[in-house]
Amino acid sequence: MNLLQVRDLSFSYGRKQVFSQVALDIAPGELFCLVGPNGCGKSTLLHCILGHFKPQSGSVLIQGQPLSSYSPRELAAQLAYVPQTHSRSFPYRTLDVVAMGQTRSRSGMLSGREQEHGALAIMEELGIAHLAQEPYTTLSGGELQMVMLARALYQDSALLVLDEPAAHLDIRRTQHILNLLLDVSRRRGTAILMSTHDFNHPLQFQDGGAQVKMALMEGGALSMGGAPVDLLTSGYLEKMYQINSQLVQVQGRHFLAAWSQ
Amino acid sequence: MTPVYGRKWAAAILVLAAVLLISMGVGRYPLTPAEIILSIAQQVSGHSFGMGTDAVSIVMDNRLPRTLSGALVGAALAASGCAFQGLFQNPLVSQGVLGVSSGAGFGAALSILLFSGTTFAPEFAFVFGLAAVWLSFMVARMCGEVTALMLVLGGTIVSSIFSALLSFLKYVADPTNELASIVFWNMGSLASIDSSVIPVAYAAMLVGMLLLLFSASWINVLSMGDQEAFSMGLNVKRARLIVVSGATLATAGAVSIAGTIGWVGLIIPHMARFLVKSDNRRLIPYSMLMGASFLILIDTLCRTLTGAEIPLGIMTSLIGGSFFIYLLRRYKGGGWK
Repeated sequence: MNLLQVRDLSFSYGRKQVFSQVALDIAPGELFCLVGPNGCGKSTLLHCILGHFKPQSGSVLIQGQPLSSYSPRELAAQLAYVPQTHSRSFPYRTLDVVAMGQTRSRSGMLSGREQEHGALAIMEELGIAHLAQEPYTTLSGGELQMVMLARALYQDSALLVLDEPAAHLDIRRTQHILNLLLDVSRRRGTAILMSTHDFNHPLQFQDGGAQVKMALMEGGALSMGGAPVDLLTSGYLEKMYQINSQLVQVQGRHFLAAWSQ
Repeated sequence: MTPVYGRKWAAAILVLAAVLLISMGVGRYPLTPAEIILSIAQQVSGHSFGMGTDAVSIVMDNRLPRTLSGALVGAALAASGCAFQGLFQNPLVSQGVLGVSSGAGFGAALSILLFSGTTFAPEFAFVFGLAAVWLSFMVARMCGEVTALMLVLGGTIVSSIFSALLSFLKYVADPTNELASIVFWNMGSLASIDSSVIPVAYAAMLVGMLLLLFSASWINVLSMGDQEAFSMGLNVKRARLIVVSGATLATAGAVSIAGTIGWVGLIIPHMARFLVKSDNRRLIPYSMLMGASFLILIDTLCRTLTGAEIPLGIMTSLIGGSFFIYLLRRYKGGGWK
């Protein structure tokens, strides 16, 4: 059974239709990349899947059950969210922010040492353990993104939803985060749904040996998903972005080169 | 808990104990800490510890209720200030943000006009304080989903309506007596606490503070924003309702016996942040200790500095404001880095 099943999903802000009749499936352990131009509705679709926005019609099924049948706590065991931007208000200790990932397992009283240890273990895994005692308001944008990822990973859900996770990252951190996501899907069997502007991200996942699907969103519709290498050699991009592109291989890895017509 | 935090907690508790005893000791009939403790022991146990009836009566009927009320009011205002700041992700809001203070102020003024005196002011203040917050919720819900932003907007609207109504009542009030009562009540005071309303006010403050202590970790999560909080597994609507109820009960209880006292709910959480940082699980209880000490101290100054009582609201702002400037200078905005 598919982990996530979206059918006939339509959403509009007032009279402005963002997307309609969207369908997508994600299997357990699968990596799914959502690509599309700015403002095409990628983030809105993610918010609908996460239950933040209410779609006008259609259904979102998680493990075969409708989204609305889950309590927030049950839903958090299925979906974790890494936002594109996070607004920081109070200087919480970074370790405490990561520990909030286990909100779903807490009764609301004081968290124990166990939670701190678990959060610290994840931070070590991501190579950000040295930030644990810092106030998280002093972190750089890239460091904050890693902290948000650590918090979501600590939530230990079946599907990780990331909205342009590499948007604020330099090239080294981008590589780091992509490899981490590959590693997470491989070792934990966590499924990943992420939006991105960069076609090289899905290509890198595929070259990394993961089970990857990519789907393009444009003009309020989502194309059928497929393997990135197949989609990007089909002349599909020329139609969608009106640009020339060619898939090139360097040391056995795929990259997309693009130039304007 | 690290030793540094341990020392800070011990210091806050010792300060509160010292302030309690000093406050009960000073006045026209000075008492030593030993005399105060013996008087209380004598009253509670029934055995004689050699204290005269006048000393026991001053402690039990006058100083103890006033000091205890000060402690509770200070703790309640500080705790609800923390809660609202976390809930609205805004360090500049205080317990008045959803209209509880202006609602209570209007309620008290209305009762003063209706009954030509302050007899029913606490009851009216309590009911109208709660009503104002309920109205803020209704306004927010009218616009669709209740978000933190819509709540602040609702609170701002309701506050300004009640402020306008209060101004209207002042305008029509009899300037020889009613107007003075309204103005004095709105400046806050612990001087004339009506013992008949103490049980309800104390219960409201205690229940409110317990709710806030219980929901402190939810406030942390809520301050990450509604969407992130929801995706971390928090029932955002329920958690927010519990936090708002706790903060509103605590504030309404405090305002009903002490009048509107500004500044405590804003400044005490900031002072506490300098010492124990932002985690609400530490911040709320620590703010309660500091708020209690602060209000008792200010009230003691109010009743001893001059022959006549100085209204509490004036002193909290004067002393609190100056002390806050000193703290900002001393720590160079330290709690925020």
